[in-house]
Amino acid sequence: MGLVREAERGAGCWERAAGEGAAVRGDSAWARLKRDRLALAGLVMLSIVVAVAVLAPYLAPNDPVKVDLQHRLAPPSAQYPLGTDHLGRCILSRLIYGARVSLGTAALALTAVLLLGLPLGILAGYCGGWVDNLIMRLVDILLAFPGLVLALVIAGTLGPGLLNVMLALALVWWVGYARVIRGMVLAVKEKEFVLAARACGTSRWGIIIRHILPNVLSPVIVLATLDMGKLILAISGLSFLGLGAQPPTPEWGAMLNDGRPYLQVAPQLTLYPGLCIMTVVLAFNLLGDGLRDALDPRLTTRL
Amino acid sequence: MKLLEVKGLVKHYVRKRGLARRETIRAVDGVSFSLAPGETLGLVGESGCGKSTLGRLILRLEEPTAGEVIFEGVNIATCGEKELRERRRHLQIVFQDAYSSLNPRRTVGASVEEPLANFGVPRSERREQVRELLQLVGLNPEEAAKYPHELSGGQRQRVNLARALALQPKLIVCDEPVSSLDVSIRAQILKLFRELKERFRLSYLFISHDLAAVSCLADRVAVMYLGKIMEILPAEALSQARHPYTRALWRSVLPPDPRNRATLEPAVKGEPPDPANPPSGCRFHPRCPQAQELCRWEEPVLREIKGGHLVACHMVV
Amino acid sequence: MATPVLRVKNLSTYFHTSQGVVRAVEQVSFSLAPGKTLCLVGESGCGKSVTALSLLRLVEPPGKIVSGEVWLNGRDLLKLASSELRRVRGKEVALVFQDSLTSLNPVLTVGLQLAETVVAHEGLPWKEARRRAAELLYRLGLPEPERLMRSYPFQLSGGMRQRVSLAMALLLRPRVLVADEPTTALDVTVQAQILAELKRLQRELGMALLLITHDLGVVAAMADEVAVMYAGSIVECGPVTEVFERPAHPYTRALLRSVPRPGEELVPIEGQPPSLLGLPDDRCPFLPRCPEAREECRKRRPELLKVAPGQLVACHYPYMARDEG
Repeated sequence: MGLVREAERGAGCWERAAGEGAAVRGDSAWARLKRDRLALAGLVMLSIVVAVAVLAPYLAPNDPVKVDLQHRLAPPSAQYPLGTDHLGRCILSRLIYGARVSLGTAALALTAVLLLGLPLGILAGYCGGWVDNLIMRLVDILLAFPGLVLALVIAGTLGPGLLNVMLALALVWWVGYARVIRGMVLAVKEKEFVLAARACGTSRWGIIIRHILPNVLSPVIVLATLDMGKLILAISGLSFLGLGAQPPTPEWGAMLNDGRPYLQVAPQLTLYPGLCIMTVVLAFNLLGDGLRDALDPRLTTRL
Repeated sequence: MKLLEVKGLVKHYVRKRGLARRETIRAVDGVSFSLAPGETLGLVGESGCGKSTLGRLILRLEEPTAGEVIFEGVNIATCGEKELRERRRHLQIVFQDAYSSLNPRRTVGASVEEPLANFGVPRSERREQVRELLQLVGLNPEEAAKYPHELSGGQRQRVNLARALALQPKLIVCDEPVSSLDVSIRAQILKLFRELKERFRLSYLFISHDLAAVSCLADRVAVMYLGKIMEILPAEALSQARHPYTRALWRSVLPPDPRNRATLEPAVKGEPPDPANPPSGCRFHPRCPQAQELCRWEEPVLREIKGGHLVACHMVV
Repeated sequence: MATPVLRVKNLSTYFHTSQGVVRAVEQVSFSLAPGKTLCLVGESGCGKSVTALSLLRLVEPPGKIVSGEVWLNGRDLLKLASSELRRVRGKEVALVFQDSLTSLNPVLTVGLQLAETVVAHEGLPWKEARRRAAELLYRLGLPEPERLMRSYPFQLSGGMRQRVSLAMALLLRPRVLVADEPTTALDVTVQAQILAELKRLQRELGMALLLITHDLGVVAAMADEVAVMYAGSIVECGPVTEVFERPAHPYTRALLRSVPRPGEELVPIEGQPPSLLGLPDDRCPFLPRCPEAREECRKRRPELLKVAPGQLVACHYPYMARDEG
């Protein structure tokens, strides 16, 4: 409806005084994030994990795939700080290299998700009409299946392997993004600044790139951060089921799976990768929550 | 020569009610008027009367259901995309909400620069033009580097005006541009509108619910009620309006004069009805103090009663 | 003048924020006689709404009432225990806000909400409570109160909702009604109706009204007394005819001139209201916008002093009657 809100929103009292009349400089998202201790902890944890993944060849004491049948299921020692697994491979080294695989796969899958979800969501929201209908019905169909089961079916059909798992996850995961982004685009599209841009001759692409994208991006960043944790879990889960990383590739979920038969005799085989997964997922969640608070535009003008 | 001519403009929205029920909202229901170069037409009415929709239809920010909008000889309502873009150079809009009219993630300078870039002004000249535009609306050119949330409400509305002026328009549709501003700031912006109008011989379609503000700026005033124009009259004749609705609006304006308290006696009762089911006959008849039997079943047409004064009322002879 | 029913003395409310102290209300004093109307007028951010909330101790953190007295019926509300204060709210002082949609519960019928107030405060039987509510709605110009009481807030128009809010506030026949921009969101024709009804009921109930508004037209129509606020303080107060016809403070004078009047030249006030954050208190807050500013204004913040019977002004160089000639 084109009804105007004639209401002079007068009673906003001091908030307006501080936010508008006085034009207080709203501090940056980074400054706000820095004040959030939990988010900062998440960021520090993730930085460490990423550094470990990048520097894996320098940090790992052993070759992660080297089999040493002499020392199967060995307890911690100078040579194997966390002991060895059922094939005598260094657990610590496998965990360190596993960070590469687990994080890398999740990041790649997320990139694919964004590459699908962002443009389709924006297209559906901005164009409306049949384009919107087509995309959203596809989304509805995909959402009618339980996501992970569908990914399982796709990955199963494509055959085991990390690449296929990534593809399978991206194919089910993008729908959530498309839906959320479409909703945000619909809201931004009605804002007066988009109308003003149309009125002053900005092209469709100009409006999408310059006006809509920057205004939907920060919630997407939050969502993506929170989803990194979920993706790591999903990849680990699929690997645990034997669909993802294939032996001897070190991957946390696959390591969990490998350790399962020895749960009674050597719990460290499942404990350590489990802890790694938990830590990273927790870190992403903490950072995601912090980012949500820091990037929330409603907080920008509040004192 | 007319700058803008609106003929029989109609905009209907379909509103879903529940699962199967649909109802048509007649936001704008057959509006015609024209505007000469340099002239300002005030468009007045209560909330929900369709005045904002009308403003947006003129720029074709919304697609009209029927009717013509002829601007500089071209029918905006049906012309092609390319022609529309070209016409909008001379046809701009300023909205009520100065804050949401500016992209919060771009600097003020970038917002003012946007129309210049769209119409191929070379990058080297744009910077200087943005500075000039900001100065023109009474802002310090240094403000160009700021973000909208760093400005006050009045400053933001000045930025919006600078952007609208960038392409040297002939007509600016002003949709409640001062309604959300404070009294002292409102006067500043109204004065700025008037100065710019005189300086560039601009035309405004000045949409407002505030009859006093409109009467300060407009040459003529059109009064809208439930999607229809009830009366068009010269601004100086507002105190001698003929339509009962215009008279009611005029009497509802509270002057800042404590000795004049008789005005508090309400001029009409009730509130505007739902635009989905407008009353039969004259749309104002359920609230009209002068309504007769005729008003219930026959809709009055807008007719000229003397030079430049049009009224849609059976009771005016 | 009769004994005031409400007397506010040196009320100050500050907001402690991460960026410093916002002095939203600074040393505000006024009194209100029974049956009379005082309008607090000012632009957004001048502290008029926070003043209203402070009276009933409804300021939310980070806001805090730092000093002052609010005397109602021989009791200082700022010193009252919360349980006693709750009884005072609604019963002796009632509040009406601008936004009637958020002040009514969306999932309960109007009648239930109205009756509940009476039942809770006065212990009347439900039937009796509903009857009283219906009667009040009828007196507020709502023709079919019984049908209205069966509807939910969202089914009502803005004007009807605001009347219901008003009824809610008046049900317990408070001695003082505090109304914060009660008609700002409404159309002018509806505003005129509601103001007229409010005035009529005020007369019938003998109730004092503290009306907060930015609209000088509303002030002129409703007020007996007016207090003009700027940057958290009262800069001028007195009988409305005196203040409007012989404004002594440059701000009041400029504000009155910046109201658009048909056929008259607009004289805006240059500049904009100052930030309340870190406002210096060693000078006049209106100084940067004042056409009359002199040396003294830079040195000392003016106090509210009497310039005419009942008229107080916080200005070192007020306009006096003799200046007019």
